Amino acid sequence: MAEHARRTAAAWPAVAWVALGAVVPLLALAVGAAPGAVFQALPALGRSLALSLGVAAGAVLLALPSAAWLARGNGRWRTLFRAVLTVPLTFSGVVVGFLFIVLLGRAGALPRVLPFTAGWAYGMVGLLLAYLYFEIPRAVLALEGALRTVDLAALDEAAAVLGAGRLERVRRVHWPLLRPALVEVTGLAFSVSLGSYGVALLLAHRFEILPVAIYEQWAGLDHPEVAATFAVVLAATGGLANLVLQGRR
Amino acid sequence: MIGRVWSAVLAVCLLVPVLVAAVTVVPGVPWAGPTSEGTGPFAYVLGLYGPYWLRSAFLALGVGGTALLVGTPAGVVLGRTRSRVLRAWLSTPLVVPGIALAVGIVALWGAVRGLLLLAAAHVLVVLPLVVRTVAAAVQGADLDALLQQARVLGESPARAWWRVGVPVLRRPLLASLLMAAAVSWGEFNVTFLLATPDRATFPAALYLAFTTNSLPVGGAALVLFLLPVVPLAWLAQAVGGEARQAA
Repeated sequence: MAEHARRTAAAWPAVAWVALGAVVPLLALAVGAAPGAVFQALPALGRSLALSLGVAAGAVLLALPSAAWLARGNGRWRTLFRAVLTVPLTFSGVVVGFLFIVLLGRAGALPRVLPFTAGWAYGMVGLLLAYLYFEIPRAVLALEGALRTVDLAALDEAAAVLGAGRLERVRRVHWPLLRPALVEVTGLAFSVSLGSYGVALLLAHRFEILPVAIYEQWAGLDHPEVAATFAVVLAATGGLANLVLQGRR
Repeated sequence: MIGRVWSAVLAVCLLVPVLVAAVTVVPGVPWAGPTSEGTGPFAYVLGLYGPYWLRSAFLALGVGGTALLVGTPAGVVLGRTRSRVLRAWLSTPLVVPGIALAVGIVALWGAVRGLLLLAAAHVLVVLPLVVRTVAAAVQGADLDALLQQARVLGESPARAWWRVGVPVLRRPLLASLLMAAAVSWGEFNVTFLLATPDRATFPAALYLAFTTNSLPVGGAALVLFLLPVVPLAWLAQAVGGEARQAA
């Protein structure tokens, strides 16, 4: 026991930091929450879940070919591509929102060539594109890391030599090997989308998601107890999604 | 072949929006529209939001250093013990959405709201990145075995750490510092609720510029935002970090 305490003592400051900054505040919020406001959160929660799930699945699918290419080797082009992916990683949601206003706003750059795209930034299309914009680089890099740990090509060849057809190889070699990585990265993208609100704050004028609803209740409508309840719902959703994914991996 | 072409397409799709938005600072770009601010866009942004820029820069440095001090020992412990409970506990700030964290922090710590509280919240957000990077390095190098070998060869515990532990952890620590600073520089989710108007950071200023000013001023704010952080992220990547951010 004393030995264990000695070995873990160095972690205590970080453990305490997380306790005071995240765990205790969230427990306090949960205690002070107004149960009636939970139902009020459900429509926005539904929109948040739909958007986050759709974006996560889309980002992973679109990222997969590039991640597989990156994981297959090294070299100049791959380094360059990785450097390009790093740039949007540093953007917060508001920055991405601004990029899409300039690109697809009512007087944006693209509508000058294609007039029918004017104002897309503020609709569903703009919101989806903006979320994909900041999820795809994350998904590519995370998938690459996971794919580097499995030698897919060698196993595929082995299965082919043993007489497995193309479809059977996908079903029995590729899918079981890729599934954990796909689940993990989809979960990562889902969590990031669920909590992000900079993009929606700038773009989603007709589509209120839960983080924006929290902000509105807090700052706009001045209902801190409703905001607290919404925050508990959002935190619980994030935690629950994480638990489910941990179990599935 | 498909992967290569697709990656080129993605690269173009990721870069074009940044370029299209950044060139609005150049006079005469057709989609920039008129300006109403009188002075040039950069002069306007620096005059109005310059203090925010400096505050964010100092904040990023302080947050990076503090997160390293608090997170490194925890990362070493996690890498050695591989405790799942500890890992889950220290990942809480990543799992809980930033705005929920911010509401909780304001509710509990609102009385001491200010720049220090904001810095503490930033440390909280970047702590999981530092801890995980260090833990992965400790596991990957099998630091425990190396330290033991140094002890067997007659080094004192302190000297074993200095001659073996520090060289093993040098690169991951540098990568952690750079990543933590980059994340703090761009952090918006927690900051936006937590920062008081007179002590706001540059991303909060970006929000103001993007919503209330003309596109060229927004473009100038964007360029001033990118200037320090893109080299930082590239450096972190070169040193071997996963440049990841909880946007």
